[in-house]
Amino acid sequence: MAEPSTPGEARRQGLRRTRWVAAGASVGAAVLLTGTIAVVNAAPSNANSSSETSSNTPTRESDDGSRSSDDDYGSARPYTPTQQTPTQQAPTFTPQPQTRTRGS
Amino acid sequence: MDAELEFRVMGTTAHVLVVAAGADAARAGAARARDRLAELEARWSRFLPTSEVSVLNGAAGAPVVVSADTRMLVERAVEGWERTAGRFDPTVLDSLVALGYDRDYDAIDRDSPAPVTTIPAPGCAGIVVDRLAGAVRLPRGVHVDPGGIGKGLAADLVVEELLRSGVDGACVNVGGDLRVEGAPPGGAPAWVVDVEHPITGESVVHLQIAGGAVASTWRTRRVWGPDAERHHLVDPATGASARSGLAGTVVITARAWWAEVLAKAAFLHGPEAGAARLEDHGVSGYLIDDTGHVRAAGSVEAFAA
Repeated sequence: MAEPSTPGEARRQGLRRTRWVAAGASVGAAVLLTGTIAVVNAAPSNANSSSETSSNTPTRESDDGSRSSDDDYGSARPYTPTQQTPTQQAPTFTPQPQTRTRGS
Repeated sequence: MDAELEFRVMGTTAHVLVVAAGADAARAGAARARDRLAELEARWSRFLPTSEVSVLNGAAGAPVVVSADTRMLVERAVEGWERTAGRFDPTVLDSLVALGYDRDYDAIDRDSPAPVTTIPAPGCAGIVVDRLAGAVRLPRGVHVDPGGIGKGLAADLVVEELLRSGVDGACVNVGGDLRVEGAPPGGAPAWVVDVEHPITGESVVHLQIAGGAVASTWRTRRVWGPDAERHHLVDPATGASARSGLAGTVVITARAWWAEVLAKAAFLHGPEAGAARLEDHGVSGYLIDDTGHVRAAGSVEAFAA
């Protein structure tokens, strides 16, 4: 990995992906965390590189419904008009906005 | 029957639409959505000292037992950070505070001087979610701002809960991060979402969606400073308000939390690379540059009315 030349590069080189599968035993003010840690140094070599994980990359297993599943990374479902036979009149649908998005 | 509510929550305006077999059921569903969003705000707001996020941010490296909602929020945020190589980063809280966004947006000192130095985000490495103990630990010096991903995940959670409760259809729109599923109101064959332009305010497109999410991120929202030079979209690498050549991004995907993550990441990438990254992720959207030009990415024609 190249020596970082900017603070941004240094930061990204320092990214660590940490995943815990913990077997915690107590709750309260102090929770004892035990388990296994898998640390993968997969940081991009510079800030301009593209190292984003595509949606096709397998996701972590959704074992209790809390973690995301592949469904989370899918596309929205577009509206598809019902196929009509030649003798049927296609339904008229003039889309009127039901809600709007104006930036968050 | 349909029921509709509009109200303030999470520092923005929420719009809820519920479709159910009867008027009472629709109204009850809309009321549940309002109450649930208020509950999530109470857990996730960084401006409420009693929220779980505030307690986490103040724990100085100690683990904190949190609700399943908050555990999920942190897990999704870390996933977003991982999958965007740190472009989306929930640990920008100190960066935002240094820029002057240290209180509810409506109460910000609009004329506060620009900071002498900015604070890069530390990133999510070392954030631990202990699912068995129900606890989260932020490393000392790491502070999170749920921001947009909180709004998106809230929309996802509430819509899914409404459908499980038996309503026929629901839309939850939290300040531009929205999710729609099930039967649209008024017997319409699709949910129709109007996308506004971040510079002109005019309609860019009407999206027709059978089910899914839309998130939009604009630098023209939440702007402050004597010359309006600061905004809330922070580049995590520098801690400064990002200038990428874009005025805003709109992303269409299955889940609102993921749409919000990609909208932020695409904004930081800029027009060309941002469009390419959205297509790499297999999603569609729009990127509006600083001149107002609207660029489509992915298969937006499938959604455009």
